[in-house]
Formats: sequence, C-alpha cells, structure tokens
Amino acid sequence: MNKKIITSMLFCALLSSVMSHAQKFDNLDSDPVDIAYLTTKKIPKPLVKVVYGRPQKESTRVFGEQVPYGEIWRTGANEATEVKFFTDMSFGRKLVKAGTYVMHTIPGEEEWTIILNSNTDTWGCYFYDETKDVVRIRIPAREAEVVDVFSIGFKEDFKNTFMVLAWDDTRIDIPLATQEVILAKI
Amino acid sequence: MKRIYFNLGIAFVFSILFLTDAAAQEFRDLDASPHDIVYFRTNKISPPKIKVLYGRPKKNGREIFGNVIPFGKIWRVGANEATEVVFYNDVVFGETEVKAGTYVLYAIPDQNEWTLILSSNTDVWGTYEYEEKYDVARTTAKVSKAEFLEAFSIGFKDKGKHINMVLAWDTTRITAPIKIIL
Repeated sequence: MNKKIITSMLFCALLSSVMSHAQKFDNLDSDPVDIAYLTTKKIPKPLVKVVYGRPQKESTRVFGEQVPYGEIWRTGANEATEVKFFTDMSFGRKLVKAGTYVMHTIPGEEEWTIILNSNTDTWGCYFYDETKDVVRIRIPAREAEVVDVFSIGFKEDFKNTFMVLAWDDTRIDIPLATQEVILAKI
Repeated sequence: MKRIYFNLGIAFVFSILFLTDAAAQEFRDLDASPHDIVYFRTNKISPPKIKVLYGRPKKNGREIFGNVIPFGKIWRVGANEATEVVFYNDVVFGETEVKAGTYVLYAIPDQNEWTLILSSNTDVWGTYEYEEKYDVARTTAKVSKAEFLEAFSIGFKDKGKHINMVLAWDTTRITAPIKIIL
C-alpha cells in the first residue's frame, strides 16, 4: 500500500518536472493576423499599416448576426486592430497625427461609426476607454460582392484614397489623405 | 467625322477603364503562412514589455534547417513580411543596449549556433532590403533540441532577472536572453 503511494507520488513529481520543462507555444490562430500596407510610388516607406485579425463568415449574414449592429467591434479578431500612420493624415476628413492607434467600429445597417483610440496593444474591445478616443467618424455602408474572410485593403481612384473594410456584402470606404494632398487642394 | 469616331473611341476606352475599376476590388486571400502576434507581459493585465509580429510557416514534411532554410544565410525568422519586435522599454539584447522602439529581427541559422540581428529598417518584406548599416545589435545563440513543432513559433520564458525569447520550429530551439532595463 505504502509502496503504491510512493510510486504514484514519484510519478506525479516526474510528470510535473517534465511538464515544467516543455514550453508551450500558441497554436496557429483560426482567424489569423494579416498586414495591409498603403504605399505610394513616390516614397519608399509605406504611409499606412494595418495589423488585423481575419475571421471567416460563419452565419448567413455577418453584420446583424455574427457581428451585432450597434455594439462596439474590434474590427477583426483576437487582438484589437491596429492602424499606424507614418505621417500626419486626414482620416475620414479629420486630421490624425502620425502614430499607432486601435481601430474599433460600431457597425450599423446603413452607417458605421469608426473610432481611432490611443489605448493600443489591447485584446478585443474589453479595454475600450472612450476618453482615449482620438477620432470618431461616420461612414455610410455600401453593398458589394460577398467576401467570406474579413478583409482590409486600400483603393485609389483619381483624386482619392480609401481604406476599405470588407466582409460579406458590406463595404466601408474611409477617405484618407496625406497633408501634401490636403495642402495641394487648398 | 473621323475625328468624332476617334473621340468616341477614346471615350469608349475610358468608359471601359472606369467600368472595370468600379467593378470588383480584389482582397488578398488568407496567407498560407499566417501572421501572429505574441506579447511578453509580466502579468496578464499589465502593459506589454515586448511584442513580436511574425509569419508562421509550416514544416509540411520538409527538412527545415539546413535545407528549406539554408545554414549561413540570412533568414526573415518567419514568412512574408520580415519579423518585427517592439520593445516598450530599453533592453539589453545579447550584450548590446537597445533603445525602446520597433526593430526587424533577422537570423543567420547554423548547425550549432545562430546569429541574431536587430535592424532599424522596419516595414520590409523578407530579407531583400536587409542592409548591414541598419544593424542595431548582433548576438549569437546556441541551438538546442526539444519536442517537434509543426508551425514556426516564437515564445517567451520569464527567468526572473531576464527573459528568454525562444524561436522554435521542428525540433530546433534558439534561446536569446533579453534583459529589460526598468
């Protein structure tokens, strides 16, 4: 009887020593992180960088079901989406200083609220603090072809540059401009 | 008359250009070697001390070090965009003091010992833009062996007085000591 206890104790000690030796690494995320850059041919360095998680469509409708309307959203998955401006820029026609911000959104059926917040390196929206808001803008939602994976990209037409948030049949176009562009227009 | 046709032709070409432009915007598919973020924090709710943003390729049955990733050549320590490390405090990396900031981490793998490089030229792809003049710190780290890992992984181990940043893939482990200056 005693022997059994001793052996099992030894076994436990051995197991815990093995376990403390093996280091745990995170598995690959099912909603992996991706990076989107806005670059121009004029300068070698990017203007904008977005680091965001890419969840996949899981219900018949993403917005209003998988992601509820009227509630703050991390605009991706896992760690809150981060936007870095390499230069002062206008974001939705509001001036933002160069730096790194967390981008939260409040999706709506017709219109979204886009928030840049200075409280970076956070998980989801759990640490969202309205007093750290830098910019709040509203952008009308438009419809386009369905994309299954949440995507952030950039679109340029003749005069304007947009950051485009795309998931399901919803698109949000956020106008972007550098100081030079704004000055050139004046 | 000819001129009208010419103008019409130009208008037609332009309208096609506009139409295709207005149609579909392409978004990138999910990467085969997705990016990941790993933080080192002293506890779960405190602000981070170190952040690493890196691509995670898979072994897929290949022989990795000395084959897919040759010995003696600079490696992006991941996949796609070069791996970026953010230090939120000044640190000592190997033997060199490094200011708080964002750096690219490169490595030169070898059989027994790797060279690790921090470079100040950030937001680059792979190792194509690597230039020695941007080196901030260089250190060497011994190779050790551990259990098999399919996906390339970076993790941290709190050793009290310093932190070990561990690069792990296949059965290879590289441990780089980092000391945070508080």
